[in-house]
Amino acid sequence: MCTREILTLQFGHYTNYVGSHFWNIQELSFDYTGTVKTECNHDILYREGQSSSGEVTYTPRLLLADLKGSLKTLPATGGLEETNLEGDFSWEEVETIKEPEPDKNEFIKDINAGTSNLQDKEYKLEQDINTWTDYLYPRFHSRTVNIIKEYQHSSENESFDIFTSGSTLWKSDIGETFADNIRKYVEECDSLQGFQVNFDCTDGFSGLALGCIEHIGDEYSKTILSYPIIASHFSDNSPSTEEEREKSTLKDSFRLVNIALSIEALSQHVKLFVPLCTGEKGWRKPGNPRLFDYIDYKPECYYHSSALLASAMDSLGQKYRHKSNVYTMSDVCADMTGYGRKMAAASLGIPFTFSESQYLIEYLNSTTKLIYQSITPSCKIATDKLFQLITVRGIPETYLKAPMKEAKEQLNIPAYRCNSVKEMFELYFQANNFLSATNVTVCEKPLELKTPYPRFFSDRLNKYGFINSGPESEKVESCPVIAGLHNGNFMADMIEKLHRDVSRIKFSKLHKFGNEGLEYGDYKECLDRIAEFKDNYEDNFEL
Amino acid sequence: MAAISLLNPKAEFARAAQALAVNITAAKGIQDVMKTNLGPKGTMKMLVSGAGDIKITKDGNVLLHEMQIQHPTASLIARASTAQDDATGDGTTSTVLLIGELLKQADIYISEGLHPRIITEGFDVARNKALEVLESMKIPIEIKRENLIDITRTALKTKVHPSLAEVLTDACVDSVLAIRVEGKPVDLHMVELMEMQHKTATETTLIKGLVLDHGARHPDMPKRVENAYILTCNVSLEYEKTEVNSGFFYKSAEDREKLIAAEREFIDQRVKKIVALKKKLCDGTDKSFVVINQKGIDPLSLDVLAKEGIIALRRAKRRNMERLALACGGIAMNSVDDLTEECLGYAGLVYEHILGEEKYTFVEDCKNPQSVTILIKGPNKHTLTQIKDAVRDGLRAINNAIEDKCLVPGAAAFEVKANNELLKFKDTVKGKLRLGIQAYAEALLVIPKTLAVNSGYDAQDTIVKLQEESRLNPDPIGLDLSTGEAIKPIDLGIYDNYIVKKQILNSCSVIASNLLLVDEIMRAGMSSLKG
Ligand SMILES: Nc1ncnc2c1ncn2[C@@H]1O[C@H](COP(=O)(O)OP(=O)(O)O)[C@@H](O)[C@H]1O
Ligand SMILES: [Mg+2]
Repeated sequence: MCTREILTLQFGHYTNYVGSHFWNIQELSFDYTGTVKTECNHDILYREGQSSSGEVTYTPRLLLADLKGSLKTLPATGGLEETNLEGDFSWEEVETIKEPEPDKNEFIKDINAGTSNLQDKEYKLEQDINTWTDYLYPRFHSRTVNIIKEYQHSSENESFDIFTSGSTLWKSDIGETFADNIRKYVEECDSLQGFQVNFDCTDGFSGLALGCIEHIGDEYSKTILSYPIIASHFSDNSPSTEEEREKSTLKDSFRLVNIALSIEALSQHVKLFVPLCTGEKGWRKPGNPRLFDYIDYKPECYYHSSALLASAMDSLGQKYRHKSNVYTMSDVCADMTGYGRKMAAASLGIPFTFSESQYLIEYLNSTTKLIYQSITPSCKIATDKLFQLITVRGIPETYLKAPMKEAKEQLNIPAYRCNSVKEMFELYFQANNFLSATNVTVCEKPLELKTPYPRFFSDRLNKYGFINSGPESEKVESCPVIAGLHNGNFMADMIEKLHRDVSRIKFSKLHKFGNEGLEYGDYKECLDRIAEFKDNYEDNFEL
Repeated sequence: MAAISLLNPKAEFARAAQALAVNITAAKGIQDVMKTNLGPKGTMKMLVSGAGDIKITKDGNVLLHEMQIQHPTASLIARASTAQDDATGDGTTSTVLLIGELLKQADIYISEGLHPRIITEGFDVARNKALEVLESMKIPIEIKRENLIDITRTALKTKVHPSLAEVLTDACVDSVLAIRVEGKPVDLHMVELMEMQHKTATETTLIKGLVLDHGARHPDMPKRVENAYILTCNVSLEYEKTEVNSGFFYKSAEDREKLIAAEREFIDQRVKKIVALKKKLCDGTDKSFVVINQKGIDPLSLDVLAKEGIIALRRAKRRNMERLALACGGIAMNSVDDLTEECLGYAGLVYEHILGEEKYTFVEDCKNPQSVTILIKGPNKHTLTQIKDAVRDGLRAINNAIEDKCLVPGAAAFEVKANNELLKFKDTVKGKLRLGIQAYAEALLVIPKTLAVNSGYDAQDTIVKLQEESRLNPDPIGLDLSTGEAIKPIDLGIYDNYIVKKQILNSCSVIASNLLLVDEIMRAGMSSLKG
């Protein structure tokens, strides 16, 4: 079997929150007993290597970037290698300046101590998490973590808050080191399928990520799939004084401009991109949280909201990470992006659930609600004229329909002729989405919800994430998930809204961008290109 | 890293007078942190992060950036030091010290009621005079090995242990001389610095050729060949599976196979062309063939090449394409059509070296290499980085000397002489302006004073000795750090770069003046001070 590798790149703090969950999900699903039948080829995202002491390592094929001060307890070397202290400095006077060791939370202490019963213990992670390394389970290859020394994490003074600062940074030494690390990963791969680039599109990381994207576009003729991400909340979102209000307004403007610059550049340089946010609007503020039945999450808590996005990414990726090796990222991108429609929307249904005493056929037949929720900001996913790729995971075939002799009314439902979960979903989408093309991928395994995945589920769910019919309450250990990529005319609304909102900002308010080298003419052209990009979505098309 | 919490960062609240006081205190603050760094007897700093990451440095600029600087004044000074580093690669600690000292000296007069504007005007005049003195102390050099060794050694001994400095000095000078083409500016990028983490070895060697940080990806390829043709190219030898599977549109298995076969054929043709050239040139001779490709090479292509005994490397660094052509000769090819012998380079020896999961390929014994590699071995990342930083500084010092075509005597000879000349000059100037000149002259002495203190001598005693000797003796007089006595730096081979001193004088006066005229700055807004 030939593995088609993927290199993942993560830029920015919130994106790294998402990343932590994503890699936790991967690593906690590894089966070391050899007894579980897995559908997913882990070698696509992971690489085997050797530590300097000769031990075999298995680490994510990953590069990430964050600012100085964001790592807390994780060494920049990734935490796999012991730092060998001895050096050859017979210098007469050496002064050691040691930073105090940061407090480790209970969970991190347990991982470091190699505790094996993580799953049985209750952690208060909501209170204990200040950064994404506070719940990170895996350890990284020494080239994975790239820290930007020029800016301090959460510093008011020298904040890394504009696209142009990131672009400038890409052209400095950091960009060169990063590019070289990319090359080293790519060199190892026999058959790379492409790059997945996730980044915070509201601050300086947007410019850094796009500098990088442009570079890999030039250097490697490989597919680039990108998720520009907007955090669920910003600390200045609820100002109380006039001064704070003004600051917050300006910051919202900066974020919006960064989003716009990102979208425009992505439309030039990647194959497919999918903006993600758990807030409804994304800009000028993230807005109300998207709601998921049976989940109670707090948008201010990155640890919560990022888990949702990570679950979506993991589910969406199943299609090109499958052992059967049928689809690649480039197939998926090609399917989604006809007519130059490089931007698509994503959806998530978590848990995709129904009563444990029900069958899938009954649920799909009776439900009136959408079975998924958009997780793309300012975007309402239409129900017709769609191209969509859907992944459903964790619904046992035994839940499909009642056996013939007990079927009763089910026999009257046309879907009763479906013989698999896949067929039934295909029929469901055929019936519900007019003039649309849907491709459904079904994975047997559910999403596993192992610690440190947030425990934000309703207690009405049973162990497998279905709705309890009895009174007993169980700890949820896994749940079914549905996730999708959708494209169609409907995306035009979102682009238009973005264009309208960003055009309202006076360029004179953006002197920080100007100082870093953004010219008015270029900015104006970029906005015009966003308007043009929208045109790709407006032509009528027929299937 | 270690926070220097100097003062409240909210500059906008500090009123002008207070702001001046704030600036002076801040500048003194960083000066205190940095002064122990100066010179070959300065203190090495080992910075350990909370999570255990280590950075070892003695370089002022590196240190400033490793520390959390929250104060705008401090970050302005840090920017001056970065600018100094970008322009010359040296003199960053001196920059910070001199800015601090200029402010300290000015403070004395300002607290007696003198307007900051008068001081800054005096600084301007004094700076021009100091530049004249610097001009008069230039020692013209011919670009020869012996003339470059001293300046390099002086620079390196301020960064690493003397015994290591000796080794690095030779490696740096020889590498620059190897790649230099008479009459053309030196491109330091053509000296590749390659790090190798190795448990036991700490050594640095100059390789007259290239070391690549990857190796052949096929088990049957030779690990070592001699007498090798080198083909450098930027041609994909990798079958890129384009979209053959759609979730929406059905393609038959047969159609897919056809698509794949057509594209495979295309790649195979390219590989065949390379093989054909190899056969023509090498078969029946003792010559061998190496392909170094910037693009990918997939397992099937590797297989074909391996069968022919060809070593093939994929995904070479873009810059190495240029370096390879300079080291081995030949041309980096963008296509394998029309390949001829003239396109190829030559290396006497190509071999692979494996260290843990890392592979290296040495391309050595090149005939007239105009690109070379300094190979740095060390037991851990932070030692490697420390040595690499030092080598960079050494290379910059050599390049500065070549561009300047001159050197200036080191060991504070310039500062002592300039102080002397400025004091004389001051007496010819009328009015309060002379106070500014006096302050400037005084401030320059921070360099010899700090060098003395860092070597354990008394600052005042030293200054008196140096000033006396300098008045009596027409030659440049500096400080011998091993005795605390006055010496002629030229006798001991202690030199500095002319451009470094010049840049220090220019930038320090500007930044110090900006910080003194703080009320005017506040109006202009801090952001206009960038860069
Ligand atoms: N062997 C030496 N004896 C006396 N002074 C020296 C010697 N080597 C260097 N110096 C002086 O040390 C100063 C440079 O110190 P360094 O630590 O490199 O700081 P900087 O960052 O300012 O370059 C220069 O003034 C130089 O003349
Ligand atoms: Mg120096």
